[in-house]
Amino acid sequence: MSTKFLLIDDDVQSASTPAERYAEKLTLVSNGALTVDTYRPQSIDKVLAHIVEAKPDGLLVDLALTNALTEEHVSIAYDGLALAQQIRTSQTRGLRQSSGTNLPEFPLVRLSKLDVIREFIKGDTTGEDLFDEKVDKADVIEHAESIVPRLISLAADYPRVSEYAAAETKTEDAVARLLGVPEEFLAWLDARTLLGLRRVDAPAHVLSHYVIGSLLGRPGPLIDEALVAVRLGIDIRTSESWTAVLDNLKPAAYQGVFADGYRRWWMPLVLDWWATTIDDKQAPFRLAAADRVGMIQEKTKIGQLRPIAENPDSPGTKFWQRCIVSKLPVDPAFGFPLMAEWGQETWHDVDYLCQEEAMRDPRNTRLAPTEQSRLARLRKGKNPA
Amino acid sequence: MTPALRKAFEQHRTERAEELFEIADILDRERLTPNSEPIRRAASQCKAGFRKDDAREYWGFDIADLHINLENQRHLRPRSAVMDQCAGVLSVTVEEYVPDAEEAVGRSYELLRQANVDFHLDAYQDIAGEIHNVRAAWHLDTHLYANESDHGVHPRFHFQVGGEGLDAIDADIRGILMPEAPRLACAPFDGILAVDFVLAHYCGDQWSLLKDLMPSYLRLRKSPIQRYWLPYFRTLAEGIGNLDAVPGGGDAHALLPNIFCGE
Repeated sequence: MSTKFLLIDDDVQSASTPAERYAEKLTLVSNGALTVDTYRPQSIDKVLAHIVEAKPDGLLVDLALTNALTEEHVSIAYDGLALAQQIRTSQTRGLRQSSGTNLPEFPLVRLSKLDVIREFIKGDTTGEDLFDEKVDKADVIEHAESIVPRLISLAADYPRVSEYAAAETKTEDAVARLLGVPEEFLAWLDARTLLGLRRVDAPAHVLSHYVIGSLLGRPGPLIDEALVAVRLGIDIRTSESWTAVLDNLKPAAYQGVFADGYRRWWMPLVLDWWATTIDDKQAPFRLAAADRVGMIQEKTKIGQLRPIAENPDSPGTKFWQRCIVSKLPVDPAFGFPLMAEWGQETWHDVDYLCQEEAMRDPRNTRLAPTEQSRLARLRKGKNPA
Repeated sequence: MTPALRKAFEQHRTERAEELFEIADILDRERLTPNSEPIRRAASQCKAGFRKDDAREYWGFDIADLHINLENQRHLRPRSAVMDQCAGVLSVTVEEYVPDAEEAVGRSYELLRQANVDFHLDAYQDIAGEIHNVRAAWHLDTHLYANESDHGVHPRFHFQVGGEGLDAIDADIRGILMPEAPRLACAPFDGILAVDFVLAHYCGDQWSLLKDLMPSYLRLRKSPIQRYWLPYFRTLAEGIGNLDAVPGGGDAHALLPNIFCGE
């Protein structure tokens, strides 16, 4: 059965830049798995009524609705943020009251252009948690195939999150099932990691935002494919057998909610895999990338793997992080850790700049005084490590 | 493993993991480290599968290259060394054998397979406009068996200054000679005690604040002190107390082979 999303955009039926092209692109690349309908907003009541009637599995919401008109042909007095807030309120009210226009819980995805984001939001984070996911319109045209699985998994797993949210007590078993792990595995994690899932009375979208934003969205106990490769010392681009390594790593793959749209691996299980399959004497973070790859090849008999090459822009050999700007692998002995930013928890991995990016941006306000001092020494040609 | 033993043992491992998560959190909150991930990673390892050497199964954790922000040090030698805004690098490996009885759970000192701690800090000298790197390094090693070979005594747990940590600057060393000896007998450290040792010795102001204002920090130290140090010092005390009856020191011999060396 096809997943149905509804795109609410003021450029629906626009002569110059019709929003239908985004809907068509997403529908087209999904091979029938996703259908995106479009709707041009009128008054907010009409929008809500249309949503009730259309019964979508999820919504794509444009941010700027400046071209939309009411039935009286005057500009509507709200934007995508206000609409999202109204939808969330109606969803939450729907759980608790039977009267009024109530909506079932479904995912909300912000679909907007970067320049509109800059104009409308800039640094204002107050509307951040209204949306489960944020997508740039340019990415829909260029990388729709990477967006479709996320939309489908959001819609498919939202009922699981709703069911979890509805439970009065968040049992260990329920948390474990939501994350797709055995209950015993929860003890492997910092207890703070799970606090966001233990919130009583949190509606589905709050929990969903926590899973997608905090658990899946930042490296920490869960890491993405690029970081898995860095931590195994493997250069994905030149390693033809990379997928064979991922097959080996299946026991460490995340299998919880939204797993089909967000491929992640549990870092503690990656280390456990290393200890049980590759080497129980030395953990990978103790080894140079070339040694890690050599040992993986020896133990798994997987050929065609290449270690991450040394790079003067990001010196070192024991790569473990990725630069948040250049995306280069970073050896923590040479990289520059950044202080936590808004939304970054202590159990998340620390962000790093590679040496070259740090040299380019020595006044980065997230560089701690210790690191600024280290950087200053480096710029004067002193010991970089 | 009986269900009761498994339950007690898993509880023990969970507590060790929780302790490490907690010290990581303290270091983060007090900005004593730019990145506590090496400890958090080690905490997760506490619950991972067992490993095995030739004889027995063991478990453990590995804190690799934890950077700790140090306070400026006094009376440095060479006097011209500059270590403003310096970070020390701490690594800790702790491995314990899996206990074979419920009453052995938590008797960490006796089950220790390895308790190794490495620490170094880097500074530099500016001599006539030329930069020379300087480094201080020490480590705490574990030797499972006392070694009375020609290489000198190896107390089971010993503290040593220098060693491989100085490899990076070996060619630049002038005016100081660092032989292997002495290897000072030392009570074993786990991750908590190793961090505490570094804070106490290199971050005195912060350490005083922690112990004065954060009771949870003191509680955190208590468990490894009781698990490791109580039996360690008790063994030494009994060895000394029984010297007349057991001149070789019995179990204490391995801890201080240069003291307990009688026939």
